[in-house]
Amino acid sequence: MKNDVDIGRLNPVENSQVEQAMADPVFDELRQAIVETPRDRSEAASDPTTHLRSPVRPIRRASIALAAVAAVMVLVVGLLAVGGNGSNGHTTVPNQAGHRLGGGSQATAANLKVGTWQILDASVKGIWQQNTSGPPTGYLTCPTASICYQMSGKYPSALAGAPLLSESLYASDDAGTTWTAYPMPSGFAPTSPISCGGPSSCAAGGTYGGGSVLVSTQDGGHSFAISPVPQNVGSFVTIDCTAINVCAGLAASRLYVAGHSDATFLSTADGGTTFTDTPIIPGDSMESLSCSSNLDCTAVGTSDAIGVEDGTAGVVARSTNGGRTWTPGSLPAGFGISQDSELSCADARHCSVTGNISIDVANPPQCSSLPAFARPTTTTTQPTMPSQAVQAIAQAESRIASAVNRNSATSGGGFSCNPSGSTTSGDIASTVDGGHTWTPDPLPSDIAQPNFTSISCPTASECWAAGSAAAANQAGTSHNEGGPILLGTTNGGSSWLPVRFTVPTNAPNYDGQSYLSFGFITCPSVDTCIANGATAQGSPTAPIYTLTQKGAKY
Amino acid sequence: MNQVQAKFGGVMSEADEERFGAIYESTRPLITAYALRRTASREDTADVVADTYEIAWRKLDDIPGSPDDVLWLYVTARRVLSNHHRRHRRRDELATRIADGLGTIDRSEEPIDEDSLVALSCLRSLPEEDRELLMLTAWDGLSGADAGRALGCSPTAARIRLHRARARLNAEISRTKAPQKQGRAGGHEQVDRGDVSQPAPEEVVEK
Repeated sequence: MKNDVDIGRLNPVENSQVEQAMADPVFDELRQAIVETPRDRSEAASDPTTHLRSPVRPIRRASIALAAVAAVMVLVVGLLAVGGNGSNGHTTVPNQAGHRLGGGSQATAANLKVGTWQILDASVKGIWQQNTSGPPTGYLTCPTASICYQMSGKYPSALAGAPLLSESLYASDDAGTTWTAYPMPSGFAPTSPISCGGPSSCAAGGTYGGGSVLVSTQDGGHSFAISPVPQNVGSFVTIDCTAINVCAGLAASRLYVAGHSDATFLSTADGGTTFTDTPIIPGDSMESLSCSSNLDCTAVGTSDAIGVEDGTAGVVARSTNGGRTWTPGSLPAGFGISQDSELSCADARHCSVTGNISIDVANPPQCSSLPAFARPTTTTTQPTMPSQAVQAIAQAESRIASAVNRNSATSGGGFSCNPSGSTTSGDIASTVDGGHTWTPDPLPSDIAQPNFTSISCPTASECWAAGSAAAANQAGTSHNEGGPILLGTTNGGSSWLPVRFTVPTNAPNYDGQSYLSFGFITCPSVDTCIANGATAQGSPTAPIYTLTQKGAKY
Repeated sequence: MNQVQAKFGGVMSEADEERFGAIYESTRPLITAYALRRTASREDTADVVADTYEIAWRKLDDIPGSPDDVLWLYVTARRVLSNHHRRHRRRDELATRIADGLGTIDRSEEPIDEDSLVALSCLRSLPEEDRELLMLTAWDGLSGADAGRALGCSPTAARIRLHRARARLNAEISRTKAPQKQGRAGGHEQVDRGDVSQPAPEEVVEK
């Protein structure tokens, strides 16, 4: 063809460059770390598609990952700032005045148009509203019904190698309608979400100047304190602040290979001046934590004893004395915990957690043409035998997922092939006895293969879960094989109902990825929630979804 | 067979470790380059490489012998990439250091000339499978047949699809350039077809 383009010259990376980088001994360490993990032959472990398969491609760029670049760049400055105050010292970083979004005072604000534009189905309670032009996606939390914070990284584009430009704390005092951006300390790279123990008191774990720190604010983002965490405990991976200056989280340092972590319970009652590090259950790799008070905390994860690589097995532990001692509970057999799992406890007795169950998905005829080596293989080891309740949910989910897979293949859309027929699907489990026993929750009959990214329970009976599912949707001119889902329950998980949104034709849709999945959801009080969309890296805006009680004004 | 106790209680054989080591050493530049070309940051690259080889270790018995082992790894890396976006990775020291180790690579952020910018934009606008087929052949150095195998189609089907993909890219470039000459900006919405290693049905031609 006359105008054939030379694609090769667009190649951003030459192999020869990579070969030189391979001389770094860290790659030998990676090899060693991998071969030190057991070669578990469970279904989940040996079939990559069991946990890799995705009918959707929601881009959830973890800002914790990308912000690490900035941490390296400010190494020298950071060492001076953190190290100079000793191991428990604080460094306070005064901030400039925040930038109000929509006022044009900041680059990211220029294109933000705030205001709800569409009210759709409110299947559960209250009124859900959608705002297509919220701040860039990030970690979201609301300490009160009106005050919310979102910690977001800024990137110049979605292109490969795009650097993190800055990390900001976006604050809203009107339940997410308008936002003000406050820059966080330059070089701070979050490793945990942000959590608030009071309306203006929030904290997040991360790295700064090459060390693990807790960054906190007591004035809603106007200034930040940087507190080093003890050495050798790693960094906060989750955090839950139950009061001003009182925070607890999971801290881990070891590579998450094959689901293992060395997470311990790390807490502070003085805003980061001192920390207490406590092991949870030996042999367990905890993934998520929720504390309903400074005494009552629940953690979920995986366990070596029950098969750490079995995606349908999980463990739970509960503490009633602020993390000093832990008592194991029992998740439903066949209900698994993964890195994506999130736990939310409304009080000391009521919690809900997102996890995975094993389902069987029928292959469409097109799968027969796959070459043998490209297919996932069947294995002899079966995952954990599910409980009857889990089996019942799995059967329903299998029917739904199989129908969607077949229909999508027929229409030329995305589909998956799996000779074993087994894969995983998201589910929710709930407890009413403080985590000793859990019940798997049935999901709506029209939600195919959900993947939950976040859950929040403002009361013992009300919970909201957000994520994505294999449901085709149309966002402007982009056709997606999957889309965001939002489920709510008002009866403690006995039944969940979906809230449905449609996307207007002209909604901002950076890189065509703004409407593939929800990101975080947080519900500070009954019938009051805010959620964000997971967008492509570099998207200057992200959808914001708010649930407000009818007539509420902020 | 001499066996050693793994760190976390599993049992591995020295033969397994040797085979994995041989595969790792011979393929890691290729898989790392593959991941670098398709991820947004070196941190993401580190994650994808680590996850890919972690799966390779667990599924070592399933990996075909050379030269197909690298194709198997490309397939696995592609699946890891497809899922990577939805996983909430937790950074650790080793992953960060791997990313730092990749920092010596001078990655071309953007082509400098306008034609290349247009071509890259159009390449990104292609359906994922077309784009992947073109990149596997032009960037990763796979033959058309091997790229087709990695994407799950026969050599004949791969050849047809590659031809069509090139044609689509050229058409897209022409279409984009034309409005620009008239003072209009060409924009493209990405069409997400999900995580599929399968061509459109009409393009599968098994011989």
